[in-house]
Amino acid sequence: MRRILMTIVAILCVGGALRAQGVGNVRINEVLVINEDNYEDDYGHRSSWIEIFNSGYEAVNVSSCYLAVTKTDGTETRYVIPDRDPATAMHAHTYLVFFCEGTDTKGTFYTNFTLDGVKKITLYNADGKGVIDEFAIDPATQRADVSVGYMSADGIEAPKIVSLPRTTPNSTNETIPVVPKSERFRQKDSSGGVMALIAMSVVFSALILIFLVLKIFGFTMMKLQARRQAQPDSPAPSPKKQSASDQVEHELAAAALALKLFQEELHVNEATVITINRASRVYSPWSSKIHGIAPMPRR
Amino acid sequence: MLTLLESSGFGTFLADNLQTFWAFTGFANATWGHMAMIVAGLFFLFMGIAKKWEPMLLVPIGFGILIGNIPFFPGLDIGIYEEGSVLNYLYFGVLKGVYPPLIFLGIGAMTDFSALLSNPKLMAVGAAAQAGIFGAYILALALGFPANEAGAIAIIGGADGPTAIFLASKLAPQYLGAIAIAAYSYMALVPLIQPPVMRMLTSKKERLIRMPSPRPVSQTEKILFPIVGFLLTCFIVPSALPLLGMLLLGNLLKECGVTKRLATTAGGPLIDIVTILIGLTVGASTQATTFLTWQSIAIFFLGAASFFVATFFGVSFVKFLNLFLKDGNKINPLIGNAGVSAVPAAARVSQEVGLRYDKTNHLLMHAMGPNVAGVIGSAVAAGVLLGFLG
Repeated sequence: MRRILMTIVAILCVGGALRAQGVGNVRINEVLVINEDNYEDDYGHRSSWIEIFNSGYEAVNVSSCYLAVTKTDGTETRYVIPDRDPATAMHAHTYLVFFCEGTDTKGTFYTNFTLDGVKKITLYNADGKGVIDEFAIDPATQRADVSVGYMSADGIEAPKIVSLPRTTPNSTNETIPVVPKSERFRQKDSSGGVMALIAMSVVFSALILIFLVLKIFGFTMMKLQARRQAQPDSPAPSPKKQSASDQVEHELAAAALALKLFQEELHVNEATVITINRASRVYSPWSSKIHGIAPMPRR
Repeated sequence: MLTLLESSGFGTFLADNLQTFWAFTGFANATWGHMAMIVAGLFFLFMGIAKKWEPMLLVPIGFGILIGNIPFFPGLDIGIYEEGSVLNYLYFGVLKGVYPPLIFLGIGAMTDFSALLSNPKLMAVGAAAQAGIFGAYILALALGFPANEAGAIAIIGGADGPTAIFLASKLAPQYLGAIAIAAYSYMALVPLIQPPVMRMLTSKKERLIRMPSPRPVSQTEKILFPIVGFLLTCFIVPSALPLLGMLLLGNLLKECGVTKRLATTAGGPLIDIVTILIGLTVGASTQATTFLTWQSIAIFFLGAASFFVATFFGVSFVKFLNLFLKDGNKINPLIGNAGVSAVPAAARVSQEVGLRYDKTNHLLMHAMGPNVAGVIGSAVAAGVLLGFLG
């Protein structure tokens, strides 16, 4: 009983951890504070917005999570994302945009706060305590129709919060074409000489390392072998007197070994020898060709 | 009758259908490119069947070339590049690098590393011959190939088909067909490419060097080698994990003595099945429309160059090593060519060239050392290229 309970508790813990891990992959990806001539909502209105992104590889649901803003005066306003709305389910690598009009009467994606004078946006999980992600904003530097969001400088380094060259609601912030790693390598090593040198050094190092290990190991094995060979020179221990039953067992073992070797040899030769075995066939009407063919109906 | 046919419109109907049928036949869609590739496929079959040059590779590849170059009307979901076709599903194993590690598993289960274990300094020869890869890389860059494509082409110099396919599928899938065909073709041509370089670089005295017979290797050494070798190489180059992991697992299955059935399957039916699939799909991927380009010709040129460079460095490195070795312990430079990993073709070349100068000097077992070291070396080199350019 105790074991069953512990198993259930363990499963629940793992399940909870997995769920937490899923929501934990959601991050606040892009924010536009001053929307004058930019993204419109379905009502044709322009207002500030927050984009969240599921960076994980599994679907998550952000229902019951909290979006909160902290103003410069320190006051925090929270918006609970309604549950039972299928639109709050996020597939892997998808986005959701919340409009910050200050009214929550228009639907799931309209928050009860605006972004005026906001210095921090926080995404809390469903218990309202655990922080999933935080996004700091400097209200003084916000410009009209210029969003801030995560972007990598070269497509390889970790993304940082910067002013984005263009707003990208519901899509990736990485809009600048990334130079492939191989091309950057070529720019740095146009002749390929450095690559050849480094790669040959790595190949040599790997194989020489194995060589050294094998050498040491081989040396040890040879020493052991030499020691074993030297042992017969020492006086051999006097053989134990064998009982009659021991002798029978040895004979049986020898006979079994001889039989095994014989069978193996037979098996090896089998493939090269063509044998013709007379197959005895017991007559049965079930296998008879005559009875198998339906006789023509007679007139 | 004809009047009746004409008057009922049946004649027109029949003619239209026949015309459509004709439009769908291979004759209507054939181009000179298709014909050239079919001739190439027939040549591969001839070399494999009549000349017995690497028939296990050339026959499936040759027939694959025929399959891939039957002209057809596009959109029938039968071509290798048409999504959803059977050939496309089989090609998945090449594109995603599934087949090469499976082949390596089989190679591992068939390879005896005893020659290398008894004379581990031959490992360095296997490393030196990988210079062919990087020589080809430099040449490919000089010819204007981007770095990732140059890396994929350069691996032909490793003389290892599965490794070449694996790396090409990661770095330059658009040239996979050309790279694989070049790699396998030159592996088949090893008996023609290598001997002139070997003769050019060695004196008669060097060719007659007799190497001491290898010491017997214990079972414990044979079991520990795949484990230790795997840990060492993959900690240095983790990107070689799929190839080296499978190679050395296969070898462990063979040597540990308790997994005979698994080793037999890996080195027998499994490798045979995968060889058929990889040969067929690689051959079929050489559709004239995608294969007959100047880049393919350049790839073939670079492949040949890489084999020459690899042989040159392998043989030269043995000569260099001999400067530091005492008499009686010297290495015959004719085994230097075996550093490329075409197992066992390159080792056989060492044996044959050696026998030409001394009928009693058998170099095969000695050459197997650098040969299997070359397999490990080329996998490590592929890992380095993948790590830098992938």
